[in-house]
Amino acid sequence: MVAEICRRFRGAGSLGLALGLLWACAGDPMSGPSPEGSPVDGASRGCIESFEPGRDYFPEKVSLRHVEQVSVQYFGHYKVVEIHRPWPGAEKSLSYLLVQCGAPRPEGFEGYATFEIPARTLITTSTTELPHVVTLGLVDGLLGHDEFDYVISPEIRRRIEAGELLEVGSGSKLNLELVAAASPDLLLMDNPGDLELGLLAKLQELRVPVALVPSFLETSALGRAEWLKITALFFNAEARAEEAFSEVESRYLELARRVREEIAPDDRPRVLFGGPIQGTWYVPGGRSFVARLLADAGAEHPWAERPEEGSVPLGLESVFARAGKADLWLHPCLCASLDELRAIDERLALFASFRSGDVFNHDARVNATGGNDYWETGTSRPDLVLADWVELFHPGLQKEHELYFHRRLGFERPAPEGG
Amino acid sequence: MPWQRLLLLLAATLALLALDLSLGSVRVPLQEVVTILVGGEPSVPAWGPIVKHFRLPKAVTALLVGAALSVSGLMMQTLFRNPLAGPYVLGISAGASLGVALVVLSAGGAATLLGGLGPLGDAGVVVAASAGSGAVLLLVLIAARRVSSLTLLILGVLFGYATSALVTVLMHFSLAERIQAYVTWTFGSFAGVTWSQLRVLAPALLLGGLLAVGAAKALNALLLGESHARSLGVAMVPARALILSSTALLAGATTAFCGPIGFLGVAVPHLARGIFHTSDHRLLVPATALCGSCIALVADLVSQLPGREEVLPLNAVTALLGAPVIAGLILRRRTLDAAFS
Repeated sequence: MVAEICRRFRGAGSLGLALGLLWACAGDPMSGPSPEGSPVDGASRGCIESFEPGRDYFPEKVSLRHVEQVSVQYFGHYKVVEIHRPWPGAEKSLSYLLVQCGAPRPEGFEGYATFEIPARTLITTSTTELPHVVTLGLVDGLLGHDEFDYVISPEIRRRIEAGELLEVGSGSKLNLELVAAASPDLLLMDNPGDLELGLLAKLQELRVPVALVPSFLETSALGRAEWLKITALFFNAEARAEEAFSEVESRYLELARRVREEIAPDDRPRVLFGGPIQGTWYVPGGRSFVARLLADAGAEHPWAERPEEGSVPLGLESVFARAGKADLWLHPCLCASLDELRAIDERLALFASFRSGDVFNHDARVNATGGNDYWETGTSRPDLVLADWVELFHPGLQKEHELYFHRRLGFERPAPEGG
Repeated sequence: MPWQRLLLLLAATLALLALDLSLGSVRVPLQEVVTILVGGEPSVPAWGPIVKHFRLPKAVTALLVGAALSVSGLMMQTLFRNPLAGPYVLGISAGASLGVALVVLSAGGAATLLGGLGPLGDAGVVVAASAGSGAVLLLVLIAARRVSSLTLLILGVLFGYATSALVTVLMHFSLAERIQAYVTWTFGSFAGVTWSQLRVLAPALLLGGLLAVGAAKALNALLLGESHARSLGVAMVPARALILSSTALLAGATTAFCGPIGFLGVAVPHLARGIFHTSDHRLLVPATALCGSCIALVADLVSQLPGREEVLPLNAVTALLGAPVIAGLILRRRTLDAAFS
């Protein structure tokens, strides 16, 4: 805990410097001189010097094909973004008004959270947002992030190691003072933390432009990845987002199509997912994100007919009854070997996939401090996750694919007789 | 007369045990259960492991743990002459929670771990919980030599506050997945106990139970108050040590393997007193044990939602099920004082 506090103090120390720079340059200290009003990359990248009503300032637009939680409307010099379900169980949607810098704020949007775009600096609070930062070329504009321990991206790590980023925490642990002092153009949060604490209202009081980007509420992998385009809206980086996502999308859809066409229903392996905590097994519901990915990868999900979007708490015996003979087992535990898996509950060794050694975890790319690239790159690259799963379920279908996020769990020591 | 009731209760316990073994998400007919238990081949091969490895350890755990928590609750209520006392008043579950929180919530940093339960998995949780409750027991036994029972009770409560504060701090600095693992542990569960764990749990509980039976006479004397008991020739210090060791063993071992299971320990002794109309612990100890087993088995049955695949958190079921029963009982008797005078 002391280390934590010290780290924050050190962060605060460099803050003065960062602020000084901000003042001195009167702009973005990271991306070099950018004189006010001079468009960097087409008219939409800078501030408008003389506003022309009726002109379309956003020639590049996003079209959302998989995202279900957001709708975007373009107007000449502003965008209207509606987040339908900002957090699980939210009763009201959130409305954002994104106005091009230098243009007048349109009337009739009272109650909309307003953002001046393009933003130049940002703070992220979830590893899933980091690939957006990298893909959209915003690394230099990043001012801070949630806990550094879990960051994998080499580009971001370089800036962390250079001491250029603030470690701001996330959710209820968001360090409001650090964020307010850094004064980013945009704070991205995938969840509002403990709603009781009224974090959003506090951030608004502090005049921090905060956008909720709950991509995890999407029920398809492509939907989650497509949130890249939502981030891009704030930076007028639509073109880059469209291009990057389209590549991911076409690779994903192409592989899913091949699976659909080339794999006979009988050749779909039965796949068990997850593992128990103290005798309770949270299995993915039939309409969950995992269930859809399993279907696309040509696997049979034992609970495919269940109506839940989230996970369902099941007893061990019902899991064993349905999936005891499953061919494969994915993401069984936060463990590194079959020995560790059996130590969690010796009965897990009764499962056929344990005995055949077909147990795979998503920990091929982790760092020493608990970060896992599956939770970082994985959300933005569903094509890679799908390719991994297809390789596991239907080896040989893809010409060549080496497992990227996954690896087979083995024994650390020889299994005892009959184990 | 009371022996008849005791036999009836025993029969009910056995019936519930049989029911618990045959009901679940998968329906296994009772004669098939018997076939499996005597070592035969069931008509559906998958039923074998389901009954042997999933249901039987769960039912045996419910049976033992229900009895253990209830008896330790009875002893604490008598020792402290307080109807609200339970197995956890000494801070045993607080100690266990702190141990588990330290392992589960502060785990991490290890090379390939993504956080969570740590390399030992549930085994690590069991060790941590035992260490936590063991440390508290040691402190309690040391303190018990110097201070009165009332002081001990207050110390236990204070210790509980201090630990929950520490757990809060740990949770504040933890990842969501680790918090979930910890919270799941606090839900309590019979289903997570395996045969190899039962090999440790069962002997510990049987030993604790024997100590409780041995303490019955001292408990009867304690009902009159410590000074009265002393004048009856009961040596206070060894008697208290016996009761405390038994409770620590019963509640500590249970919490280590099943998590902190609330309610049973406080409520069941009242149920037993209500059924048997006695304050004689030679009868109350076995009666409370059997009542506890029954309620735990029913709670397990309900939490497994027979016929459905989902499960409910055990602690929610014990409280929802037990509270109305006990409330009705107390209201009917109008006062609890009778049991403590």
